[in-house]
Amino acid sequence: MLANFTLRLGLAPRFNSYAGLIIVGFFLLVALLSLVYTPYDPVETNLLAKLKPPSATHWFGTDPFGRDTLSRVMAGAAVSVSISLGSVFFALVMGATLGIISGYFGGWLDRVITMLNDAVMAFPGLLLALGLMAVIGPSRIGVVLALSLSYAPSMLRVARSSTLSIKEREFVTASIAMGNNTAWTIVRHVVPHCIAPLLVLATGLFGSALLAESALSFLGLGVPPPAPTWGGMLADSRQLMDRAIWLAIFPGLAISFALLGLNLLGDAVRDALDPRMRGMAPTQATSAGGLKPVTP
Amino acid sequence: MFWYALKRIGLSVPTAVLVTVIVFLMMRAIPGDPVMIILGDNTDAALEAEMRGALGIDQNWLQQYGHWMGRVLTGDLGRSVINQEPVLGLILSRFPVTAQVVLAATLLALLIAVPAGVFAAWRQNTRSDYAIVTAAIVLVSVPSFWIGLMLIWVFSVKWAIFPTFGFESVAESGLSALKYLVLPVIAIVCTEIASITRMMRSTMIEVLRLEYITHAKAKGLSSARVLFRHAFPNAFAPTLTLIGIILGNLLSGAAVIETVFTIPGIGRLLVDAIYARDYPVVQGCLIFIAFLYVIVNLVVDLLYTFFDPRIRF
Repeated sequence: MLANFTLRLGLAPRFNSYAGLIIVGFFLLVALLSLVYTPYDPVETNLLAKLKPPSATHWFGTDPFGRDTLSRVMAGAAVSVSISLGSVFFALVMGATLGIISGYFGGWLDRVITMLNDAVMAFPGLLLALGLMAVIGPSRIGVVLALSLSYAPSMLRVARSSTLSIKEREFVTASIAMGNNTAWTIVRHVVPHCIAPLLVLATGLFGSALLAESALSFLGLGVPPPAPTWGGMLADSRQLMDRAIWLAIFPGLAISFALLGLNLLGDAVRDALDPRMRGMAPTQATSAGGLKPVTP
Repeated sequence: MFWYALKRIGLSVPTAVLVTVIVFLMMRAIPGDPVMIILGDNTDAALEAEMRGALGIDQNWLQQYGHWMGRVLTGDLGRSVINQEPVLGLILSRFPVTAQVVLAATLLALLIAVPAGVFAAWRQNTRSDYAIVTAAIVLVSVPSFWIGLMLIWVFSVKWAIFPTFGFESVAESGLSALKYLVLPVIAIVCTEIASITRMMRSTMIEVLRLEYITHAKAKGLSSARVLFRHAFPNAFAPTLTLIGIILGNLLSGAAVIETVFTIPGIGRLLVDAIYARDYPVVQGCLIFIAFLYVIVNLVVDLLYTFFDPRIRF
């Protein structure tokens, strides 16, 4: 059944892609589940149950406010998933629109857009997001905005180069010659050609966004408390390392497994959709949260 | 080569200028009037006007940018709102700390990852290759700040081998300062070796498929000679680009690892300035790191011609 599913998605039927799909699917389910059910309220404090080690009643233990770590990790999944999905989606919309316009029309518009894009790309890793968080201030929307603006330039580049390679082809010329208007030609003939490379990039960027979101929350510049975030939980755990190590272990495991799933899935999607890049390094995870695709 | 270098240097000037424009616009987009932030509740109209004149914000944006750029070019990045210290001085006092950690980590990562990647490519599709590839994809998924926390737990809290926090410069305190470097460097290296190994392996595999490698082998050259003399120089260039990206990521994300180990580097300076709404310092750090990244990319591009014999200008 699973083999059919991965094949239908066009993924290589390999162990890694199954593992990636299962892990990512698991986190999506947990994120959805946390919206309707968590064992305890993830934000409600209960001082009678503070700093309890993992047990049958609190699988992942509790924090100094008596909040259940399992419930908070589950709710944190929802935050991470929604923010990574949101920022990659907005980056895709912004980047693809500007990139296709830039590549299709060319001329001075193309030059201006490319120049600005290169300048934005001159900010490495998390730097642009950090600067934008200083301007916007920590909030859920702020993180999505900062991350999507950081990732849009690479989407723009990919969309632009795909558009450039397709717009001289006969069927595009034919569409124009048939009297189709420009918008129709772009939507019908140019956009489909850009989808595969953009999808490869987008899957890679999910991991980047997830890692960047945790890093920002860890620094206290992401989603503000009391909303539970994996990065924020790790930051809080630093003061209690000698007494309550479970507070540092479980959120970290959650981030690592989610990233592992996304990296495996990213590799599989790239191998399936872009055979030329098979075997190349995917998103390059780097410490500090700045995952960046190798093909900028 | 000389002309190429000159041209490449010339090309990074417009990028650097645009970087300053973006930082300038970003800082102007901050809601609220900087004069009001500095003066607080003090609403003396004359003082306010004088302040505006001093900060140059009674002019239009283009004039403001011109003035500000003029000062940036002479190395004047303004003064901290909090303690009135010159921003450039603050940055230059913090940067060596970050540079030590980042350079030590990158160098160590290269020393481990390049041979690992070459070895995995040479033994492609054998057990050792799978082991290296699996280790790499697992390591690439573990965030360095979590590795850092776990290292602190094991080596500082439980076993008390390394200090939990603090930093001393190796240049000033000599070898005893190394104990502060060990854990942060390991935390960064774990993630970096993963990405460098993957890149090195994949480009090496591409090169090992080429006919001149078969030819070199047929001549009866030793594996080591084929790998390092014939294949490696052609396969290293993409890894070099990756190193540029990694250096940029490490510099921009330095705050995270510096927070874990309470290291007083430029990353902490930036993040603390963001908390304190100390915008001259934020602005200075953004420009400094972005400029540094422009320079790193420039050096990488110039080194490209050195490492990849196929590229000639």
